Amino acid sequence: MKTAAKLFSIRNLIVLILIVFALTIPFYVTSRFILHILIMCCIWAMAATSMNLIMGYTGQVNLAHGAFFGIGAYSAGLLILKLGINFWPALILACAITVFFGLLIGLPALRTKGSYFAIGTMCFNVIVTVIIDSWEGLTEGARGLLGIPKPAPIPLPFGTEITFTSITANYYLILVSLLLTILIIYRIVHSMMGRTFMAIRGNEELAESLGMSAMRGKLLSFLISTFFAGWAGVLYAAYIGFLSPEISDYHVTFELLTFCMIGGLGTMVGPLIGAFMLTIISELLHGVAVPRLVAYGFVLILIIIFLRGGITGGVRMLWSRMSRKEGR
Amino acid sequence: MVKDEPKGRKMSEKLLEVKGMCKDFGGLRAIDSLDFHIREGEIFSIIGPNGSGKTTLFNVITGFYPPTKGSVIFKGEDITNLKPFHIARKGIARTFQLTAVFIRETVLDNLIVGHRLRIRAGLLGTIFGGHRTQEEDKRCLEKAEELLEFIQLTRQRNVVAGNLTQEAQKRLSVGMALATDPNLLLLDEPTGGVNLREISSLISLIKKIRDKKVTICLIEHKMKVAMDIPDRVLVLNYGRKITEGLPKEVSQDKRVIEAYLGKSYAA
Repeated sequence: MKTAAKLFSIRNLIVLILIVFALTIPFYVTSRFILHILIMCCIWAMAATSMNLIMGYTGQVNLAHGAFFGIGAYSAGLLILKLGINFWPALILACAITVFFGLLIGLPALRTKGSYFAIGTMCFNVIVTVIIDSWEGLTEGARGLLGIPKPAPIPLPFGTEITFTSITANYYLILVSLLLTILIIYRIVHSMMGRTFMAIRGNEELAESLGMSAMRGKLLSFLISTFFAGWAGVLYAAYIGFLSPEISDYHVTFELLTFCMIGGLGTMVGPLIGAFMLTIISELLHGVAVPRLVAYGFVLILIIIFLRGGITGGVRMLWSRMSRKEGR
Repeated sequence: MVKDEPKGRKMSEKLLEVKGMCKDFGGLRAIDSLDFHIREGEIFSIIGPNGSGKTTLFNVITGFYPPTKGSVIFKGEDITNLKPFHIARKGIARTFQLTAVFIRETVLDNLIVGHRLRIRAGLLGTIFGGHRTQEEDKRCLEKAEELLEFIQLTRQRNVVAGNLTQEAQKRLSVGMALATDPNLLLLDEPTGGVNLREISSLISLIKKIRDKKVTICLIEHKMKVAMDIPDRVLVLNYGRKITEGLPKEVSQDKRVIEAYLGKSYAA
């Protein structure tokens, strides 16, 4: 018990240091390129963390996460450009729209189990991309949605305001969003609600026999995860300023899946590690897109065969081996 | 929803009643116009040869399969077509023949989640950590601690459930069922796959549960368990009731011997 408490405080310390580090980065990193990479890391980490809730903790292989990311991004882009709505209400509306679509697909799809659910959600993902691509009257189709403005300034008392024109301000906005996502999902996972999700993951029949509605649990987890996917999409839209149908493509889904798998599904840090590591690598290797995807596939196969728990699982295994040796 | 019940209920009162139940799987009739009832406070045992429909009966009562015909009445209320989780909330808990526990979680976590159905755990409370949520968490933990002692797994509280022995897993699964605060506990072969020396701990556990005023219905193969503990026994064969009564009467019944051992032994 004593060592567990000690380990816990060490863990808290590491988290604190990381947060302080993340918050102070703009003070000593001035390179726009590095900040851009970090922003992309945060956006993908948000999307991957939310995917982890339904996939890692609730055990439902959701292959439509890229679609929800895209729906969030396009909803915000269209609301801002076509209806002239301010960024902040558009953010809330876009998340609501994403959750609405989540409900629409979740209700029928979650009736199926295992690979059928995976196939069903993947079909939904493809449909979403096709619709965005071909409904030119609304989404501009393959030409893409151009010129989405940066988030509107937040007015403060005494005539000052927070503006989001600089890359540093955007970095802070997206970092805070990521931290909020992590905090909320952490709280959910470490509550009775999270226990319900994990019970459903462990054994659906047993969970039902203990009075938990598997459908309700799965749907709730699914909707929460789509909410954060939509949020991440909105941030992406406002930061990049340009959207094309590819942003909702199933490739995005598989990229998120890769982040989770490599980092470690069903752990809090796994998707973060995966998203940061792979986003940095892929941004540095921007020119070589095709070999990159091949390498992803290869790494994924290796992980699935040899390291089911991803990096986090591997570290835990090493840790337990080392502490066992120490004990001798 | 929850009705207040008169305190001094008589033991003879019907807690669960099954009326004219049939269950077909395609052309196969697994349960055939079955009528019986379980009285409040007793230990009721269902026996019968393999494939006689015992587990199917449990699955119909607990809502995992819808019955083809007939009805299930629990505490005077028709629960026939309710979903499993709904029936659990009404007060019927069950265990599974192939012992089911959450193998990746610890013993304590398994028990905590068993009490989930008695709390709300809403989304806002979960995120903002309100007073009520903390209270609920505490209640689940207290329930789990109490049951740890009851099923005598206190020392294994932090062991991952998948690493327990078969017999300890059986006890854990019973503990999880008890964590739902049931009125009726259905045990599907509580001693199945456990060697004879370890059975006594499970038998004493079942007796302890009865002493807590929980009505028990169990499916058993082992004669020691099936005939020693129960107050009344129901014998099934090919989904039909052969006989019902005190263990002693039933074990001498000609039709029962015939069903188990064949016609030549029944003479």
